[in-house]
Amino acid sequence: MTINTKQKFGRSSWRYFSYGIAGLVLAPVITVFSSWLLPIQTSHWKHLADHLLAPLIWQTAGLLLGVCTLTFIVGVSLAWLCSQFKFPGSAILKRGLILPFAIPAYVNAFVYVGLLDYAGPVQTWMRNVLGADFEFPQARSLPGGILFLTLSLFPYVYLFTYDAFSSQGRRGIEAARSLGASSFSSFYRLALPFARPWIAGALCLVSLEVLNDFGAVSIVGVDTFTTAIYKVWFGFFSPETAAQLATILILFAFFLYYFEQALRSRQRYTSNQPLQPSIAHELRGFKAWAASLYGWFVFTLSFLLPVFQLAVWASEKVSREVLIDLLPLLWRTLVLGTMVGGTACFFALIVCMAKRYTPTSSLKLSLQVAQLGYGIPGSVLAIGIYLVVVKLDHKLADVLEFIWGHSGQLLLSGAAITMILALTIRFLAVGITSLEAGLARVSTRLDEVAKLYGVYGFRQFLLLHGPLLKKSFASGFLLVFVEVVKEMPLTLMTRPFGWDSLSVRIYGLTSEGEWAQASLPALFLILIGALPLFLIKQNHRS
Amino acid sequence: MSRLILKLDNVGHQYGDQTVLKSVNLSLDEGKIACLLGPSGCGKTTLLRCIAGFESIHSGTIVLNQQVVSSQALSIPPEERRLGVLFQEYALFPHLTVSQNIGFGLRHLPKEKRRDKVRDLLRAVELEHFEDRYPHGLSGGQQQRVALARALAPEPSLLLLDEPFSNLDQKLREIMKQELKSLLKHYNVSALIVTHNQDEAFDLADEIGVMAEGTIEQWGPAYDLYHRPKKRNVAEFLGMGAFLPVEVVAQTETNAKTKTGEHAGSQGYLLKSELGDIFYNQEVDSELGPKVTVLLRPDDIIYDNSAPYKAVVRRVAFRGMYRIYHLELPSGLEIQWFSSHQHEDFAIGTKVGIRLDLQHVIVLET
Repeated sequence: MTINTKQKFGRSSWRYFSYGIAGLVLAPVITVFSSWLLPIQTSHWKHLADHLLAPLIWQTAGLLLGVCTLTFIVGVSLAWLCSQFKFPGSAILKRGLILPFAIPAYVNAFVYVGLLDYAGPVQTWMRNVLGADFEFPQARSLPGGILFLTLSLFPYVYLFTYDAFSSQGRRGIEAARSLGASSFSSFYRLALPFARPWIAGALCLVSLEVLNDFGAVSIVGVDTFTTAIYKVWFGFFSPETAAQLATILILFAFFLYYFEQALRSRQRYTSNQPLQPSIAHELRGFKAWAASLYGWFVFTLSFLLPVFQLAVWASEKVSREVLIDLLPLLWRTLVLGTMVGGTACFFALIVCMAKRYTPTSSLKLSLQVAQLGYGIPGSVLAIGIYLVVVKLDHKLADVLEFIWGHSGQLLLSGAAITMILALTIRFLAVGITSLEAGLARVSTRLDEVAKLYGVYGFRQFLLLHGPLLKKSFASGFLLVFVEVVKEMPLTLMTRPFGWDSLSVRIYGLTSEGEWAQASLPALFLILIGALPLFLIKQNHRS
Repeated sequence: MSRLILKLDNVGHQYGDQTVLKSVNLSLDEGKIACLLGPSGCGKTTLLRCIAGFESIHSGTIVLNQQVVSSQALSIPPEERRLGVLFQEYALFPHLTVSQNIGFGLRHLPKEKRRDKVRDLLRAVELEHFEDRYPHGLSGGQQQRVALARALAPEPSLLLLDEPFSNLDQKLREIMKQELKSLLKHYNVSALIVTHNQDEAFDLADEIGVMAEGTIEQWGPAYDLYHRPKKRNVAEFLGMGAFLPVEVVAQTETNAKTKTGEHAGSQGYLLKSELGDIFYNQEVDSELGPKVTVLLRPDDIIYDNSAPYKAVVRRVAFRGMYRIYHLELPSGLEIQWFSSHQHEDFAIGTKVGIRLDLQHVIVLET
């Protein structure tokens, strides 16, 4: 036995908090799975099987396949063009193509549905100019859903692949060219296989986002697992059946999530020399204009046009009353983002520091478990948390009745704290990723120097890791903040009754077809959503 | 008699089911500088970390200042060992200034005293005007001086250094070596230095331990290690050399005429090799059997065109003041020969006459 009481005392407190946080994340997941232990309501399942399940599965599958294929084509082609070539406007595109990140899929969806509707500007203009009614492809359809999700999700593939292509350096490509490979074949035979782990990782994230999406698919009227869970819960009033349905989704999501995590370890730079950035070739003539046209076409569709349309709508609708009506929503959204950002990063700090100070397998595991939330679609997490909270509430009511003789109302269901915890569980991984990256930059030798002078545990944190992690904490906070602001289904399903945030208001308005009304809150969201993009740039610079 | 500052008895350490250290023994006197020399992965850094108390040991004992600090049952925490550690990458606190870094281990002192002490150390490492700078604004050599000052600040009885010069360029390395030596003298601190660089060890150390595969193969002054290695891997690790296969022919007391000549008449063994007979005046370890090898250092060979033994020049390395010739013997064995005579310039493929000039005959296993 090693006797070192000082060390032990310093470490134990972190450890138990870390287990507690992992338990908090695990509770809703376990509850969702344990729903199969409850009596299975055969009438609901029969209805599901007869009417919903088949279209549900193939629509979800179709959506996944379609979005993955399109984001792959658009993301990889743009990454290759922007990382290897110079053409008119390429410098702006290089940076600008991250901007669509700031537009949530449900905003894209309603903008395009509004634009392309029978009464929308596009069809009206065509009728006026061409003078006849004719068949126009439906925006509210599966292909529409695929397109709108792609427009806001392709930057994942673009960013990851761009990173891969530029980290490969120019040596490999130059070697290939010197061996007689054409530009295209060096892309196809060298760059693409090299970037495979990056691309696959990005596609996993895209798939997770598709499975999580609730807003865009409800706007275009495509039934997926997420909307079905919502319908079963609030339509049948059967959270148990909804939870059972959710297990199918969660298994698939976990598979994707772990696949992505496993791929991360393969995203290593193989070069042992400092990387030389690849020098962009100048494209000329027809090729240059074709590349430019393609890049700007995607950028316009995914960013410029939606923002322009939102601005047009907003300018029509803006007034003192509208703004005064929106201000409390904006305020609530900011408060919610701040509270969840703070809580998530605080929890993340505990979990990360516990592992740092005592790198035992149990604490490594609890760090892993704490990140599960990111792999759980919002609607599933909402169900799990609802089931946990209801159970706790009834227990709590029993206790209160025993003490005071009357139970009063349910305390946790629909309370703001439940919503904050739910969002914290969902985005804890974002905070952990940021802090882990920060900690990885602090050599463990520093910890040892501190130990050499008898500085352990919380004191070590105060003197050493605290000051060194300030930046990582701040960037983690901002990233969580922005995620929370844009998040919709989980906020919608766990919020206190009648409590609206910007995203919930957008959902409410768009579900009634009020596109123009939704434009102003959507513009606010895009503004806030652009925040982390500047942050990413800052990080790249330092 | 000087006082024993560090003593290791049969120290063993495991990482999982992998044995990293097995029965390591060493002792170090006060005021001495010792080096642990060995190839990477031989366990030398782990040994240093065990002594510092960052790792616990699974067998044996570590005694520091007459006090047991590590054993299978006990591990005194690092801060109670009164040790200084200088890490390879310096491990300066990036958010603290130079003087805050140096003062980190002096927080128990009153403010005045701490400031005086930090000033004193800053002067000793010649960084008086850098007290308010942050580590990232310093050069590699300056960072190392800060790390050294920080390690010396709490007046440790022993300083542990892990590859201290590996991040410096050749010129700076020479300067820092001398500075380190004089600082250690000035503060009367013993030191244990881990390195894979033979020149560094030879330059700095009073005593050297050559480590291989988790144990210390040989411990002693540089001269002994180089000229009297007890094992083949020690000889291989320290400097160039070849192992000439020889056969123990006979124990002899006669005036056998040997090539080296000077031992004739004394008691010993006659060793037969392709470069002639060698007389060995000590016991040959009977466990080695009749077939053994003799260590040939590049300076054990002399050019002599009249000699009956010829070798072919296969490769020449020109080193400025001298050349190293790689010669191939008729048996195919490659040996090295050191020549400082500029006129002895042989082309590749030339046959040269050589003979042995062994100052010390070192008999080793095959």
